[in-house]
Amino acid sequence: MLFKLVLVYRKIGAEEKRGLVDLRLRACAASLWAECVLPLVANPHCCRFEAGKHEGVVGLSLFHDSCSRNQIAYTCRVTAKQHVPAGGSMDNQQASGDRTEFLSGILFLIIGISGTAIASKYPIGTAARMGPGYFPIAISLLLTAVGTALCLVNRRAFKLFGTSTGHKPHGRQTALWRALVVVMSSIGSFALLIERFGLAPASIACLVVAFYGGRTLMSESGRWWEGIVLALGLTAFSVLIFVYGIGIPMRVWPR
Amino acid sequence: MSDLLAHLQTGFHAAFTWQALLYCFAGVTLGTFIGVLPGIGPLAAIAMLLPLTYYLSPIDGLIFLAGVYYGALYGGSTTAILLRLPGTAASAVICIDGYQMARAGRANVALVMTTVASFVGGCVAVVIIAAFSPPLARFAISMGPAEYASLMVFGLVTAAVMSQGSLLKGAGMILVGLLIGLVGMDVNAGMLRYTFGISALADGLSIVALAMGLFGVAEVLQNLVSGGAGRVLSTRFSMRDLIPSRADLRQSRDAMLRGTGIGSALGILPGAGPAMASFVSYAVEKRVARDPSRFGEGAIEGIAGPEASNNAAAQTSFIPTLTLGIPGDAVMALILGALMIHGITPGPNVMNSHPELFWGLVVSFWIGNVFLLILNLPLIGIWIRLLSIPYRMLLPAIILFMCIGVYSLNRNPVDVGIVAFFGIIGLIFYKLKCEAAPLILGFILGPMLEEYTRRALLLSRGDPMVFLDRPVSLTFLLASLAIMLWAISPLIANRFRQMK
Repeated sequence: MLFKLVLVYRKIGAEEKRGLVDLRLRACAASLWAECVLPLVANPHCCRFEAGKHEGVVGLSLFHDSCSRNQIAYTCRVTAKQHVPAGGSMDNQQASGDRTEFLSGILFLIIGISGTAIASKYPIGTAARMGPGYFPIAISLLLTAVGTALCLVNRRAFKLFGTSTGHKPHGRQTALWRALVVVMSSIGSFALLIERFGLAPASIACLVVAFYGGRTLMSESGRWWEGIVLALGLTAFSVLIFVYGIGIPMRVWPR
Repeated sequence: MSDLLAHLQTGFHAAFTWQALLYCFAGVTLGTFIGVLPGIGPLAAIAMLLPLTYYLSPIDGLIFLAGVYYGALYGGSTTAILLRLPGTAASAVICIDGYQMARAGRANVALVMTTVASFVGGCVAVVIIAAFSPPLARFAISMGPAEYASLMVFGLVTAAVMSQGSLLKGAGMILVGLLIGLVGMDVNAGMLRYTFGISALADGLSIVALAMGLFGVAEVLQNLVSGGAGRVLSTRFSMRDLIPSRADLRQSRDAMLRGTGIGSALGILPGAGPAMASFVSYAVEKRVARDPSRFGEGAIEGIAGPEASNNAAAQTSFIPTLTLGIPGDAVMALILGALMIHGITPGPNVMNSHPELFWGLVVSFWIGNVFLLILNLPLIGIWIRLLSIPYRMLLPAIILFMCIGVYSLNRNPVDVGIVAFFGIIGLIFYKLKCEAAPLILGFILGPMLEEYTRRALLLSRGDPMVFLDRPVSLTFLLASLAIMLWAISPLIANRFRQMK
């Protein structure tokens, strides 16, 4: 995962510094805590992240009183790629950050408006005697408001839409589509086969599709027969555990 | 006091059956396994295991899921120390000093310390749960619908504030969750809402399908795109010197106690959780240390504190979940989902109508921690070897277990399709950097919030002032407002500074 973030670090008595740092780190779900902790433990000794502009992972650097880039790199396992002095070009970064916000706003708007439209067919009732439509409409309208606010706050992203934000890793984009096809067809083959043919064929199909599809996306693809062994072994395992062990009533073989 | 003993006795009766012990053991083992594997987090794992509990009794199911949860926290630390790969978000902080200790040849001590610290944190948290839950539940029973609605609003606002990304996004995700929660038959009027003519949706969307799609499938997709998470790493690991020196113990004793306190407090708050607890604990340890420069170089307090803290938080987060019926985070929402699968309505009545469920769970925490103590130390070598399972093998297995799990609920292939659908939605959210956890909270609370609002307004004849007139309700609403202001104040301050 690649993260970019704008850092504003400040030491007492020192001038404010800004920098654009590339952070590359494992998908360790670290993004989850970063912002959670930020408001609680941030203090003027720590480096501060510009509110609203940071995204992705900032993290352990919080706990270092003096905030040198080395320490950030060390604790977060990040590599600082670039260091842009104050007033440097941050627009690029900001635009892409705003853009996800803007698009989420659009998504919320769509859900909110269609939610209102669908719920408007339900009887609304009064506040004292709410009909089935009252609460859904209230929620949908709130959602519409949130979506509008997100779009308005990030309206600058709209102007930048036509302009390219520079490098877009093309390979990752196609990898995403391929991953989607692999996973969906694996799940799909299970859903299509389970009813008519039973657990064993559905499970074998699901595993075979997932293994040979997934193999094409991975650096270490292993040996070709691994998938067959895996499919047979795991199918036997799940039939034993789920059908005979736990006793889930499911047909195993086609009738 | 005698009350407490009687309660604990009920718990011991419920938790010391063969099945309960078996599922507790299975839960912590599976949890450790999941925590060690980097490709799959506790949230996705619990979503995948949720359907299994349908076939267990409620108490066994709950004990099992809880075991998976804190077992995963345990396992995550092991890989954090030895390989600097945090298995869960909560153990990310363990990497800092734990890995340094391992490099200095003190891996054994670090591992033993995490186990001991988790054990201490867990044990103290059990006492806290046992002491605080009954009064909280008694208080909760006296709350009317208006208070409940306000409490839910408070929980949701906190979750939105604590969520990753901007406040507006968090709020939006919660509202989407609330809306999705309304899918299905409206209880009062018997009207179908948002079902799009799909009969499988008449009973509402199943939390299993939703969570599996949003967390399970989306996680699998991300791992696939990044080329698979697993990779073979070899480590030398000797079993000698498992016992930490007296100096180590003395150094970490206070850290453990402080961590437990922090974790217990943060676990109860909605929106916080083990990950946050371990980070705050680390920050505190560093602050109180006489020589802060040791941190990052293998300070033993740097693992003892956070580890005790995250385990305590994982357990105390059950307090609001079970006494109020308000889940603090997505994992707790799934636990509530497991209760609902069994037809148990979450809320303060759970403690009265199912005392064996509550106290059995509390006692099982303690049993589970003993299991982990026994399980983790001698078997660390085996856990480490699990890391060499390549992701190409793991991926088909994860997909298959998800399919079987969700299909087994109603034996309806449409449910499998719903998982796939929400997998795509989850991917969109991921691309838009919207966190899906608040959505699950909204989903669980949506129908309840509607019901309580309805009842409150029915009683007040449609007068919305009922939410402000009642002091408890007003307190919750004011607290929500305060948290929201606190969250946006840096934004406004920043704007101000820019204008100047």
